[in-house]
Amino acid sequence: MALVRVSQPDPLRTTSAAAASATTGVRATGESVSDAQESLASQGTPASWTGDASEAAENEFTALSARLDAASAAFVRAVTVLDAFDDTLQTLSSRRIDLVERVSELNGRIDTYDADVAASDKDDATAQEALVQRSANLEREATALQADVDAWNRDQESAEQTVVSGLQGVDTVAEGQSAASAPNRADAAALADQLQQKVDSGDPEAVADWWSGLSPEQVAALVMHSPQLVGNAGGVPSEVRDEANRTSMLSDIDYLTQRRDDGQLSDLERQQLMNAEDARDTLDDYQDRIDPETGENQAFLLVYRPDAFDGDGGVAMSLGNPDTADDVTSFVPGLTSEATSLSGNVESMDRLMQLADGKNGDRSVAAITWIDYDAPSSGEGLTDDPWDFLQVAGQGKATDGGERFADFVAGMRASDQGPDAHFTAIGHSYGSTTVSHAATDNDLQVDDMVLIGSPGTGSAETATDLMPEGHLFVGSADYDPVTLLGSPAIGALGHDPAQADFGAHRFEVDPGSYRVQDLLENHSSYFNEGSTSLDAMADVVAGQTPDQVDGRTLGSYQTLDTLVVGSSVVSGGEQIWNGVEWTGGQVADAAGWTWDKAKDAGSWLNPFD
Amino acid sequence: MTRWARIVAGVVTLGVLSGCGGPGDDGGVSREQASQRSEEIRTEAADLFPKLATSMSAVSFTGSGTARWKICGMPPSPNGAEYVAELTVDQANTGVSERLAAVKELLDGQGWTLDEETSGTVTSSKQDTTLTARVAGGGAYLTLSSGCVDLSGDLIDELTDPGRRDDLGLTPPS
Repeated sequence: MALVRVSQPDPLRTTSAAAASATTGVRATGESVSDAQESLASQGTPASWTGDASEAAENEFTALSARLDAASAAFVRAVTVLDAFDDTLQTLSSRRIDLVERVSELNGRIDTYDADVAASDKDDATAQEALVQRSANLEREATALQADVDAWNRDQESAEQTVVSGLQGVDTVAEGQSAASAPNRADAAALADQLQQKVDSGDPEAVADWWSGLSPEQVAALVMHSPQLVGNAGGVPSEVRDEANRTSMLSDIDYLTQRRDDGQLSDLERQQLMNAEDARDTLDDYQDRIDPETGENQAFLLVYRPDAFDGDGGVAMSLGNPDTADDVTSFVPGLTSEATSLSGNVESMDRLMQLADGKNGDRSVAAITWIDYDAPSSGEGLTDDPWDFLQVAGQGKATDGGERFADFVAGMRASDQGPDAHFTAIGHSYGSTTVSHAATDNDLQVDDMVLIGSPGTGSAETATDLMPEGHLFVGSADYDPVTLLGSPAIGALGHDPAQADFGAHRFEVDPGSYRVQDLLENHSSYFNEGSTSLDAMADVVAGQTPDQVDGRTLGSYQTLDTLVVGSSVVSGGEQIWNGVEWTGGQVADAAGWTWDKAKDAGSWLNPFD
Repeated sequence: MTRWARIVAGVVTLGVLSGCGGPGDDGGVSREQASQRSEEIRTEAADLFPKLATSMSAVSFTGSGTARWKICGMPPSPNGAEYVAELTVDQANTGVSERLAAVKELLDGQGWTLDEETSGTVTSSKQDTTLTARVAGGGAYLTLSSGCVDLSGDLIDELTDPGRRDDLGLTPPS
């Protein structure tokens, strides 16, 4: 008798990513309702308005506030139901993958069996008896596996019925009022106060401990009530931070778009809207990236502060879940980085992540782009804001940023699940100075550190001031002028970590173009596809050691002035002077102003000794 | 270093650091050539992605596939851009090893050269176009890249603006 193949499980009709996206929309609407209710309840009618009309209005406000409170409670219930549905979908997805593998494998063996039967000698009694035994075994396995498949199909239907009935349970006014008056209703305001105290204490481990004791409904209520607080709190699970920050982002876009359409947008709000839209667009660019096991979206918005730093904004986004990944890296870009720089930097991290993922076997990778410090920004050019630019040569913003970055990493460490992840910090350009300060001043909790295109390491004078021996990796292109700023040259931002006597593990970097007009490109080529530097960084992220090259020693490399003059000569005499004249024209105002500042501040650049 | 050299170097470096390029910074291919290259990639993706999906018994996609320009290098001064088409197969009715084998067989039959194979990832190329298939879990993540195209800074900014993407309009095999 022919054996029957096991049928594959039904397709999963909803993915986790789709459910999460729908939940975010519901949560954002709920947050708006919650805000309106709180505003109404706290303000009432103005004290200067008295009399019958005032009393009537006060009564109306109270009644409206109660109705909004009922709606808010209903939204919390709905989000709780949807969150649970999302969790179930992730489990169903993993189970489906396992079933598909088992069904494919078993059906393959049945195919082989059929072929063996067809090729068998019908007169060979021993062989026929063995085939009969194989058939019985296969049939038994197929029956058991088909039962598992059928159970999975039923579980999917059950999950769908559960979410539908859960949502139907809060879709009337009466049900909303019932939810609002439930004795076990989560007190979101009180929870927010508690969380704020934990955050203020500066101990993300305490935040993580406290968070783990919350019920799903408390989480839903708190995220809806205080998404800004939850989304930026170190120690809160990354999934929740992402949900909270996406909620804030959507609310901001709704609110600020309305104000723009009404012609009421301030300059800061315009910046804030631009930052919010940029974060949304970048997340959308990665909306199809899903965890192949769970179906969960793999872009996590870990920091969202669109109004920070006078509108430059603060933001961090991870590709891959940093709480569950085995290898995590966080990248700090440098000069001119602000919230709207997210997209391009995430693309660099995407390249790095995919390369590292191919190097570390079954281990998973998460790559974070962190732009939550006030990086020196020059906008369209020097003349826009000389003071902002001058600070490239000062360490103030790197010092402040280093503290913020160390706090962020501590938060990631606190929310890490399972065995401790291998964590690598990467800093580029001024970001390398920032990462250095995070280590020297703030006990940065990373396993490895990579400094690329570094103009200096802050107060660190040797590699072991930053990391234990063998854990500081440096990439410096020979023709990247920024890497020639560190001591023993100008040294305004500290030591050049590529110097041999600094003691870091220097890896190979393509030297770059030897044309004066390409020097900036050399500074921006470390993440190029197929480059030796990208490969070396992927090694470090994957927990491996890249090949080492010699550090710089006197006479073994071109100093800054030699490089500038030499590359100008190679580029052609006319271009030298066009270049210098053109560049000089751009900086003329700033240079004069810089000279004044230099005199005031002492010898920050110290080129005039 | 002499005093004057420090001053010149400082001024030039200030210019470099500020994002001021200099003469020769605005080269690269024209907008029309960039558009043509992106059209080639979309056409190739529209042909190849469904075949790959069918070969691995795909059941569903996350979305309908997208394509967009991404920077090469780093902000704030990328050195070009690549046009990349992407499709995520989120469910298939074959196991990982079967999917991987099916992908390699199909690519070989279509004239693609296998460049590299690491754990679950196949990278193949045909002329200037690179295809990467990452097969894991329930599906696969497919990308088709133009490689870096030399573009002017303004064109890079315009084309890589976040949110600017093309929909490939692909549907799973029935």
